[in-house]
Amino acid sequence: MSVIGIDAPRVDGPAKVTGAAQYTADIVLPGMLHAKVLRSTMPHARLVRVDASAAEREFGVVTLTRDDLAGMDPFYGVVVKDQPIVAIDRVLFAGDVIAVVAAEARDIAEEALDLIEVEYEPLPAVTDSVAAMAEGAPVLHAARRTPQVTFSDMKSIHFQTDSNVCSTYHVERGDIQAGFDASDELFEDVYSLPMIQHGHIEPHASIAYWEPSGKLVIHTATQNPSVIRTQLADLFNLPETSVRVIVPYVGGGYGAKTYPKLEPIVAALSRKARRPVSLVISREEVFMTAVRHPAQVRIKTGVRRDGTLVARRVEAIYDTGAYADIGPRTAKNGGYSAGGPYRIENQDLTSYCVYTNKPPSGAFRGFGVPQVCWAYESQMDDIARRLRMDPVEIRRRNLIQENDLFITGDRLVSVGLEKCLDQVTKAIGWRGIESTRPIETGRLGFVRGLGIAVMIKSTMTPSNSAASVRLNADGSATLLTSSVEIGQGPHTSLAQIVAEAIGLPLERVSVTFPDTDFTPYDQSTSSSRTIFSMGHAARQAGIQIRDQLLEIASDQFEVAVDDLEIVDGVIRAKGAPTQSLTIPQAFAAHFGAAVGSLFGAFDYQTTGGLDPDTGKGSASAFWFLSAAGAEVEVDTRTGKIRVLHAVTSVDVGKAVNPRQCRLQNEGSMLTALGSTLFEEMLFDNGQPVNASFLDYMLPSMEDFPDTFTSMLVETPHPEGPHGAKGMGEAAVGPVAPAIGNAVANALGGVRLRALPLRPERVLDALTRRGVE
Amino acid sequence: MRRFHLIEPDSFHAAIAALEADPGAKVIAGGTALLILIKHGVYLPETLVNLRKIRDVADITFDPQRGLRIGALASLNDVERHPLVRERYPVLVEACHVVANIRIRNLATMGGNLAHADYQSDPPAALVALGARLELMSSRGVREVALSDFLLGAYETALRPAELVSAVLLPPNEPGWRGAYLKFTTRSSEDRPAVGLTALIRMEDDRCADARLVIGAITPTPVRVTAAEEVTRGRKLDRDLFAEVGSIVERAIEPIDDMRGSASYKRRVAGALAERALERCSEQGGLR
Repeated sequence: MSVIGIDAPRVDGPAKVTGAAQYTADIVLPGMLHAKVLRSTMPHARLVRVDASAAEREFGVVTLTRDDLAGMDPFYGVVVKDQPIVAIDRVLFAGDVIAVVAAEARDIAEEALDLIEVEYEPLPAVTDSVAAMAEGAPVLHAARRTPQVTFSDMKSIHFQTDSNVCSTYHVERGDIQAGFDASDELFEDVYSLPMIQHGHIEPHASIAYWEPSGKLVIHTATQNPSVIRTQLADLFNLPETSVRVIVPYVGGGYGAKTYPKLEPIVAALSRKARRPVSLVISREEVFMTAVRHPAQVRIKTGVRRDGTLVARRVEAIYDTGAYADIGPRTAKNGGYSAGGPYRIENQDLTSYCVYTNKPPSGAFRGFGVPQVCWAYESQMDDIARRLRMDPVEIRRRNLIQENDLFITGDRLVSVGLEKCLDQVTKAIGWRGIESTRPIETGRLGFVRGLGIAVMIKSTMTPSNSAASVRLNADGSATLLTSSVEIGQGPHTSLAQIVAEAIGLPLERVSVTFPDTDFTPYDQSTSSSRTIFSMGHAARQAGIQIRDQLLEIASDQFEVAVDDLEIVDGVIRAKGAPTQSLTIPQAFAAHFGAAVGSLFGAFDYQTTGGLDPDTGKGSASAFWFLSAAGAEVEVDTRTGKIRVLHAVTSVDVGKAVNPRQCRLQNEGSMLTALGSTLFEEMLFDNGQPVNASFLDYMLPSMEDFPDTFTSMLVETPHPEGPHGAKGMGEAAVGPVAPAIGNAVANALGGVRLRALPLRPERVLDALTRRGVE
Repeated sequence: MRRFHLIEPDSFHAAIAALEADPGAKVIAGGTALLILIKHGVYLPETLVNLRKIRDVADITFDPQRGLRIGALASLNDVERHPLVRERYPVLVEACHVVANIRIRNLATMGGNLAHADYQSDPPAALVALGARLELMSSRGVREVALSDFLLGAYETALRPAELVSAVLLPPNEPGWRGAYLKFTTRSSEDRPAVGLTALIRMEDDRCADARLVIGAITPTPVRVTAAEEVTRGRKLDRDLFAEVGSIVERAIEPIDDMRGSASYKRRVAGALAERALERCSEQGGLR
């Protein structure tokens, strides 16, 4: 029986439900010290003096300041080496790391922080990306270096060093001006999204120590152990074999745990302390560590009266904060996706990644796409309204189709978007243009509306994933992988793939936690790439083992390999089940006794990359396609929105574990729900004002829609294992515009272009409309 | 979190003695408010006097003459679930039920909620409307203060040094009262209220004989809108009255601007809530 496409129960479920699961913060090592971070109180300042000697003297703690980094290049970064382990000459945002203390207990470390003397010389701060791009703005990073170890997809990004624009990306096709000229109607709007935080339950946490041999060992809550190894090796000038990265369960990532976060700090501090150092940051510090890019998106679209999209120009500005992190790639991916999943002959798409004196923006579920999707899908409904067309119909007329060329030049395959749209419209009860009108509730002051939206997104390409499978003589197998269990379920789904590849019962396959001393390279557990890339590698590694078993049985039975199969761990001749061999028997036949092990290993590399001059080439190994729908109720007296029904449909290629796929969609919907309705990090002159869960709200159970409908479309992808594509992020993008469109439909076309859709904004828009 | 000394007395008297011995000591009960302040470094007391080990101070009792007595250590959830409260003071049940979430309501105490005097809280507006008085205990004895006189400002109360809230007292309510508490949040439903409004009305035949309208969370202390109360007297409960009350409320209040909404927005919301609260009151009696 196939174990692909079944709702296999989560192998990590019992440990997590009972609280037995171990996370980084649970690890206690002999002699371990606890660290606390001293953070900048200023958004931009020159550091005149940092003196930790009193703290060391009074409390006997170990401190880390810039003085301890004198002998090394203290800057790291996967795209641009612009972030120091601790601040060197300047601090670039309120919350920037100035010094770190390691003590026997965390409260001692906290008290010792008070004795570190810091003298600032304030510098003018820029906290708005548009202002940061203006002539004369203070330049945050005057000297920038690109790293030695870089990702090949960065070729198409243009880096600048003379302004706060860290990088730009541009791609075009057709003739944009001719397209606008040939259009019957033009639409030009500016959409904006605020900074938001991921809200993962487990805060960032890392523990490091140095072995006497000079080897650095680090336990860390990261989504990409292999990259952490590379970055630390580079920073501390070590061969990669001298850096060991171990990752236990990770309590949610959503992108916030990609690329170095606390790892350089604990590595440097434990080297000085000569003891293990643990750093588990507070929730408030999480808000200073990783956030989603605020963005401003200017979009101009020309259409023909029949609803054909003729031309679209988009300029998207991504505010990457004080350090680049992965911002240049985020802006690039958002850039080429900004036209949406539509055939538009004339396009001109540009994105900017801009430094400001704010916390560093990085990867966030959706990776640059929710920003542009909010713009193009909101505007799409305005276009339909002005042309008096059904918003579903106008999308259908323009949707990309199988084998279309995307603006990047990618040939699109596995395009099930129309089916996604069909499922969504059916699930929310869409009835054509009639559904763009307000739905009466019978309650004074309350109206309802329906809305839909669609999305396209790419995955990190090119990228690399290697898997190794070991089969033991008893017929149990282990998948050695650096894919991280961040709650998304690879310990279950990758086991399904390996069990299927070899022909083992599912419960005979286990999946390791990443440990770079033993598990092979994997670029990242992000970009929804694990099932597609690691799944591919794991399947091929499993097939190698199956082939070895079949060879052994072939010799035993004197039957051709092609006439053999492995079912439930038993090798047998097809159609002659009397001839069979268990795995211990096969091992005995091969090794002379039921001992030893069989190995399979596979390294899967996706290919692609974009031309630096044209921005074209091959952007993505597969494309995510999804649709969302929403039914909302708006309180017209207060402007408050309640989402009654949220619907998403994602083309997953093939659902290896359908229940997990549906739950991923629900998670995506919730991520989008909070950021659509009220999540927003606020600043006052560069000072964060709501950087805690007390003041920054995530949706609670009461805010959930009454009904979630999570649906899947399966259009097999030729390269995916069993046709599977990634899907974890796919439903985030279209939810915000689906809600925004539902609100507009409830309110007779009132359009809000700034997220979040705070009640006050809605009420003000209603009041303005009343005045007009 | 910073270190502090923890004293755990077994009686109010012992707690008061501990507070007198150390003027820098601070009282803690549920800890849902104080621990956040300590964690954020806003407030760093050397010594905490924990009241949770004190027995028999969480009782809720009712006497027909004297009314309801809620022991200060009763949790918000104890209050919300108590049959006497549910039967006689349903508005208080509504106001306790919407505080944060069940985990907080299980820990937060009634006395602590009032002594902390966080203006962005639900119960105070309901309790002021119900005419609550507080029993305060110190080494000098016991005194009673009306809640409206106890709350002096945001985080400011009439509590004297080494004095504790020992009970919340509600007068016995006359028949014919009905009411509603409406909490309005602009973010998560677990957020503190942007506006919290209590309406109580007493009907005689089909006319309104008396009313209380108290709005919380918009000013440092709950605000009673007497102009709106007066306009209801002798009137039938109908849409005209609701709208009139709503517009009086909008004009009468001066809310604080904060990240939950601007002053002008809260004014509009309070007006709408006043109308809706009265409408809810009218529905309870089956009157239109």
